Amino acid sequence: MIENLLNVFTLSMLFMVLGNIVIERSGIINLTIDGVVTLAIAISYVLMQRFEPILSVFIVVLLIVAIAFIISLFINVLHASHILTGLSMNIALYGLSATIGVALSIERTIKQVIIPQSYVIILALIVTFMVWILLYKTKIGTFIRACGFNPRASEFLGIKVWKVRTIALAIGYTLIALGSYIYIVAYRGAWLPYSGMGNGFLALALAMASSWHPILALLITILFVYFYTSIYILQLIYGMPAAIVNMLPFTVSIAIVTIIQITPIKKKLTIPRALGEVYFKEERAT
Amino acid sequence: MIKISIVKREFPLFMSISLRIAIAILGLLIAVTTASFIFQQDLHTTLSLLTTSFLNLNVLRYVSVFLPTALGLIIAYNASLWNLGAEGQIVVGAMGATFIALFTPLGNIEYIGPATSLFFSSIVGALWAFIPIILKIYFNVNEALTTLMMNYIAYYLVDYLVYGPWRGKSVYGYPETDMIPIPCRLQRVVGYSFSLYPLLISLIFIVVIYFFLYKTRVGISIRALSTSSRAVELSGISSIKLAILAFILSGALAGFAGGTEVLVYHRKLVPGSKIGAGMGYISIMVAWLSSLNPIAAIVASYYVSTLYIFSLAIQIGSINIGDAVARIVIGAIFLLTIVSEFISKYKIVLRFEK
Repeated sequence: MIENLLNVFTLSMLFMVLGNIVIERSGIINLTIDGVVTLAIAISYVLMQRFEPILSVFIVVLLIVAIAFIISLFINVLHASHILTGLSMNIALYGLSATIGVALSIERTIKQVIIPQSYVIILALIVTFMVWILLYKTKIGTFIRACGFNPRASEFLGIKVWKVRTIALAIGYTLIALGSYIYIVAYRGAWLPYSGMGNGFLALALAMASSWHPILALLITILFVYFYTSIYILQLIYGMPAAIVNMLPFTVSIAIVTIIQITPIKKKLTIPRALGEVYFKEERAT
Repeated sequence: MIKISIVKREFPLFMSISLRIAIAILGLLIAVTTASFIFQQDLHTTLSLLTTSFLNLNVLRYVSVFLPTALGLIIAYNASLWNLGAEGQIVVGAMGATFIALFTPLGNIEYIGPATSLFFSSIVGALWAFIPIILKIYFNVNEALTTLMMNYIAYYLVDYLVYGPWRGKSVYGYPETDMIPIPCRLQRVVGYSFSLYPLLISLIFIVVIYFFLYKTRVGISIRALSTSSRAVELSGISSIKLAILAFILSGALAGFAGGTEVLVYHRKLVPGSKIGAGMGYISIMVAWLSSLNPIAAIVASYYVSTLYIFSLAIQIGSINIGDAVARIVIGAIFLLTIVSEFISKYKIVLRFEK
């Protein structure tokens, strides 16, 4: 029973969702996630054929954090719209992932790493708890949430918005890179061009459905992945079409955010109000 | 100690136009050099490939999708409303057109059939855009995220239909509907896969939208909505109504593009991701490449369509990664556009302090 609820796929999605939560809490609309997930999967696949698992994790995380800094450059220095940056980066990163995977891979499969069930549960609980502590109990977490709520007011309180957003991007993309690594190495094991495309946007939807709260994210991710992995059973027993199950996270995320906005829960579950706001600090010209 | 700060500036119109053209040419150079570098062709062959792509009339097949969609998005972005749902609106538009063509008697009548199909596809697209804008205005739900989610809902909705109730009787188990009746199809230009009618309608749209945005009271108010919604309210026009209007117009135009895809190109309903094929997302970039100007949109859509055709042309050499290389090039060009946007809006000032 517990294997159905919390398997390796859930764990990889959970990492991506939590990473996305950290980033979007700082007020960045994180559309680049889909391209980065696709790229991280391709890189992990290529690296695993050459190096030991631990070393490849390190390289993947380093490379993806480098991409996070490029995103930060576009958003914080060039003051570009988060959405345009995300969409253009996505197109380029999809291409890059397929090129890397096809050009540099040696064989079709990789040696899978099997994570024992107990480790999966412990890892899931630990990472959720860590992100919760980070966002709600530490100073940097408070800064991140402040930047997502009202960047101008945070600047007046002495927070450097660009610094906080860069840190949030680095932390978030570390988690996303780990999630993608788990996805290819422990769950899929084989790679085709554009493997994992769409998983990033799924994580985006799940993060939105959990109203950007790490503990709710754990519940929502478990629930959805349970539905997702039991599509065939649902189809056989209840005659439920697969398309309807696939549609669920997206419909549910819109419904949940709407419900939060129209009911008094809004006061308890604050959602980042400045999501997508390009923060420009006026400065002297001469 | 050097202090770097970024300040706003006004760039003259002439300069920003030439900057944009420079970016476009730079993009082509990147495309040619990458293609010739990766596929180890000499530069001359690749250049001639690019020229033939520019002159290839099949470019118009993509223009007839990008142009109406980008025009619609231009209206929404001028009001600074983030409609990322063009992809989904194209898909539901295709669904609407198929519904009229296949399941109503209208589909068998000449002229009236295609006209009603396209009209209905625009209505479905507009309705699809209506949901996120209502959520945005009344409940303050971020419209960029909801429209993005609704793309996937549209994909799976069409998937449900073609795998389930709408699956055709003579398709041997493929997930698609029957072909739409012949009177309902739009005539293709012989030898090419595009039709002249949607292109002509799009050209009319350009003129209409230009006059709407720059010469009418409502259009000017839509453009003012982003910078000074208070002033719009004071001039006696409801900003809520304007936002809804801008959004459903963009949905309707994307739906129209989806309808033409069915009537001209596919001629049946196929799974959602094949109808959209990412063209909705590319249209977003087309809209920004044209600096949100409806007349520049025709140049921008032609340019991006050429890159599309060029990417298909270089794919023939090495099937594996041609498509991927094309994506890198297109993405790089869009990133360059963002940089050019920065250059025209801001400047970097260095100050030396003791």
